[in-house]
Amino acid sequence: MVIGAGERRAARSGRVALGMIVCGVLWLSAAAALADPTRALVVERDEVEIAPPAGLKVTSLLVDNRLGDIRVEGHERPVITISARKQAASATVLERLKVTVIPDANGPVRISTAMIATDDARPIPTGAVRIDLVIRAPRGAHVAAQLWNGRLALIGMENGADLLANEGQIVVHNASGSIMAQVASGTQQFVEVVGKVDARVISGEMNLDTIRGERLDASVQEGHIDSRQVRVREAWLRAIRGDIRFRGEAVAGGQYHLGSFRGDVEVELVTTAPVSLVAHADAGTVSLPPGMERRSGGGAAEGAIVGTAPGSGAPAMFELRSRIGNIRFAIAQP
Amino acid sequence: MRCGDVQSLASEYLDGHLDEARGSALRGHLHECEACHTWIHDLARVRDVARELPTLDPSPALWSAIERGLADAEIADAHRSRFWLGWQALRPRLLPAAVVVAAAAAVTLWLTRAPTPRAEAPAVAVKTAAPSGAGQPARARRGAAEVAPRERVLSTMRERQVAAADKRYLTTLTELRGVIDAERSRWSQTSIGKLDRALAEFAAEAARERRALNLAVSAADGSANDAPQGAASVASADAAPPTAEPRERDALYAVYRAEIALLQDLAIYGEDALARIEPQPNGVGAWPGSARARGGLGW
Repeated sequence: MVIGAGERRAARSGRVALGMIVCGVLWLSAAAALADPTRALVVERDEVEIAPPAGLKVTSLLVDNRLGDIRVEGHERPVITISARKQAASATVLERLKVTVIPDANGPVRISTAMIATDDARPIPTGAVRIDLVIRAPRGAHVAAQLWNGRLALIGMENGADLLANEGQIVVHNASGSIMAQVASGTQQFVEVVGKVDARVISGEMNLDTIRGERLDASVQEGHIDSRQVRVREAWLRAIRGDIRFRGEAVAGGQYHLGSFRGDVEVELVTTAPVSLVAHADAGTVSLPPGMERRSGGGAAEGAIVGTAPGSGAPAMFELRSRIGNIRFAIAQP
Repeated sequence: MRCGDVQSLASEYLDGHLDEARGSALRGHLHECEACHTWIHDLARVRDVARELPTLDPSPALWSAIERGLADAEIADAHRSRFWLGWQALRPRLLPAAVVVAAAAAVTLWLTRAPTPRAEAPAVAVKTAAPSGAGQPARARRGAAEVAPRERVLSTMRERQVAAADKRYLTTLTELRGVIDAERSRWSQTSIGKLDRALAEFAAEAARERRALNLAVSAADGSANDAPQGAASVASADAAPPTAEPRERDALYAVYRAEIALLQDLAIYGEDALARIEPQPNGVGAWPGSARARGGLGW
């Protein structure tokens, strides 16, 4: 068979194209090998156990980690165990990552992380180094923990906490006491918390599930507050740009203030107590349950809707506001 | 299947060349979509009508004109440069090569950009406080920095993160202040006075913290009421560059958070919120909702 010039040219073109594709793939592989920081990451795991002096117990724990995540878990033992996972691009850089523990017999145990300086230190890309801490501490210790960007989890602690994150997520599970949590940008999730909760988010979502106790104070500048199975004596829920949803139980004599500047306020209530409601929707509608007596005025501010529902005991007072949004209030039978 | 898919498959479908699976899907769509059903029905009718049209033979003059045009084009090609001939040889290979290069460039860019960690951790300053000093209060560390050479932060990623955090707080404050400014004209003089005192306290404290960080402070009111600015803003040309170490920002952000808490209450409850609070002699930290918010964590 004789191969024509056109066929030879086509075959040569095909080989050239194939060659270029192979070169491209090789180039990609080389670039990936050079650029992927995780490919060359060095990881070190350390675990330390700190036992308090005889006769003393750990009452407070301060954790400051601006290089990664923090997870604090309560346990029944009197000691503190710290598991640190360090990650860096090289062993030299890894050496510079330090976790400092300062036990104080008369004060809190302080745990902090840092990257120590060296004379020839060069800039390190974001994410190329990190330290993640998992701390197991006696349940009765108060926790103050702060991180920069990451996930801050508090699980099974019983003496309150102060939690602070710039960006990321704060998660509180099965905890009690007075708990304050603040995130500038990110989410907060509280599940099965008993006590006083003070939760603040500037930009992000807030989820509150099964909150019981004295007071719930939650604020979101931009985002929604979604709460369910809430049973507290006093609640202050605020959202500037976002909706508020409150599903829970009203306590006789309790006070509940829910307000959104630009968003809806929705309450689904279970209660046997009488309810006294003042709802104020400047530019929206107010929806009340069918059986609720509804009237305007009654000493409330101009434009407010006042409603009452019968029950036994001291009334639960509800103040609902939405400057630009609707209000919906519903009562279900317990 | 969508209406667009029907349009692209209609020709194959009417010619009977569409495979069974796609044909079934298309028929199913026609059952549900009245518009496509009508459209394809019309198309089939046009096709049938076109088939019935008589076949016309072109005139001999037309063929002659076409042949003449082709000959002219070939003669023109024969007079083109060698470069053009070489280009014609290369052209078919350039498309796959261009695709590979573009893909390689895109992937290289993607790989070499700053990696986003699972939960974003800050970049690390070249010099940070030693571990033993990391737990000291921000003010104490700043004192030590006056003796030692000031930290020089080389990581632009860290600076960006801190600048973004600064901006977030200041944008929030600006938004809330705008809401309050629109409302306050309806308030009583007592409430306005109370608000102004509170805002002045916040402004003074924020200005103190910003000066300590070598951040720009508005000359007009000594506060951070100016437009959002990042870590790159400095107080003066002689001042050390502002630090981008997150720990250094704790006190400033605490003041911002406290002010945000107060303004949020005012935005929702109006001057009623002022009636509920009584400022304490301790200053800013005593405002409701801010007492714990403004404090650090006890370092």
